[in-house]
Amino acid sequence: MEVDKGKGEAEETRKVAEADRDTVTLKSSDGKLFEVSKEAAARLSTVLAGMIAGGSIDDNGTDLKQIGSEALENVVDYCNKHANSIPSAALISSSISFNTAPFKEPEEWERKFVDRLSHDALFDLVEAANFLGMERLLDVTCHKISEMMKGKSPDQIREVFNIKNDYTKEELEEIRQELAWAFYDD
Amino acid sequence: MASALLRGADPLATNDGVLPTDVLREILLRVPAKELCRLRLVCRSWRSLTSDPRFATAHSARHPMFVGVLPDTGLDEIHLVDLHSGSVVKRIRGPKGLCSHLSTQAGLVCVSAEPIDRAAQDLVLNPATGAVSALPVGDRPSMVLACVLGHVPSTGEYKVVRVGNQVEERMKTVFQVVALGGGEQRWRTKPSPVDIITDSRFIAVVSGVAYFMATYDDDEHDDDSGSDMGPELVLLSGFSNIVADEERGGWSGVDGGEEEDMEERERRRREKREI
Repeated sequence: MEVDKGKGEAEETRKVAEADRDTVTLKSSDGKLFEVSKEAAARLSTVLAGMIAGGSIDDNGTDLKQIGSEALENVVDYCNKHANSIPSAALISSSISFNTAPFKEPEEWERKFVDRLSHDALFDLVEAANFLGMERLLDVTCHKISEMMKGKSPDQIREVFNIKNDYTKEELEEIRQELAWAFYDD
Repeated sequence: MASALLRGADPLATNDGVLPTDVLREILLRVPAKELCRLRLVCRSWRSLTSDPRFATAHSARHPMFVGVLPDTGLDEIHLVDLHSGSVVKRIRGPKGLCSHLSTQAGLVCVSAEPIDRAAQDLVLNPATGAVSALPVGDRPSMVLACVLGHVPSTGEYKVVRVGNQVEERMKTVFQVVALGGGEQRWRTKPSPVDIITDSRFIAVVSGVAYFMATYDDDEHDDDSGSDMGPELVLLSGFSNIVADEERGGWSGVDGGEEEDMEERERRRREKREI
């Protein structure tokens, strides 16, 4: 009897410890494990918040089959950095703004965070942010990619985005003429 | 890297390149209007994505712009001004004879042309992409009073209503409507429910209904008996009603009540004339 009782207590303690854990473990498509603060994950990702609230978080690593380890590492890195940064007035107001408002400028640290990434890493990260419903990270990564488009020729854009030119020569000429008629730079 | 390789290796994938369409849309929404128009040259799917009116609406909400026309300067230019920077982001060269009247609706702008040129083409432009499309000339009334852009929320269609007078037919009022978007664009003449004289300054379109501040055009009004017929608000046409009424080939007021009012008014007017 006493043994059983002790076992029950241990079970109880373990459960409490689980509930009290302040991190969640995420597993990338290639099986690597990452820990992230539960509070930050729930605050920054609507998908993770839903999983935490719904109890579908696996202590041995919640499978995120759509996200590779490099992208997941960046996601976790972003969450940790975000937890440590003091939210600025701009960030606080962005949470209550309507989607008709102009996009918020990234914070300085967020700018640095995406600036160091390669094109591939950035594209993987924007998809991960989209998949996880991380509005702020999606904002920051999309902003960076939109800046990359500035001043690039259609050919350069196609190369960066791995897009095939599917226009015929005639069509391209037609669109060019349309543009020439409609626009000219200052 | 693995995912990038996978993406590159699939020749059957749609030509979105490395990014899924919903993410690409998010990115392109952040590209300023001036850059966006050049991106139409990248590929078909980017062109169709940025040409979509829903994209234009979302984009213009994020990049508020002010559209102005420079008429009577010989320039015939449309200027788009970014409201954040205050700078002119686009100058669109229009055909000769642009009219200063602009009508905007859900991210698109209609610029009407010279009112008394039967060969002039009215324009519809998309400030987000810079796409300018000239509407067909059609059977343009000899005096165009207004060109109004409307959006039918239920179908997502855009239509332009042109109101004018045939000077040579005793100023008969002419209503014409053209649906924008796919397929051949053709002005269709609608029977006019009432003779009016209106002015582009006195028109508003809200939720698919065009409101005209109108003065009844009535020869008899030159005498004193007509002096009480001042300008008043007439609900002439719901753009939504145009959709419904095209089936029947008719053109009606906004609702039955309004039509009755008009009939009643018409009756009273006739009585007045008889007196």
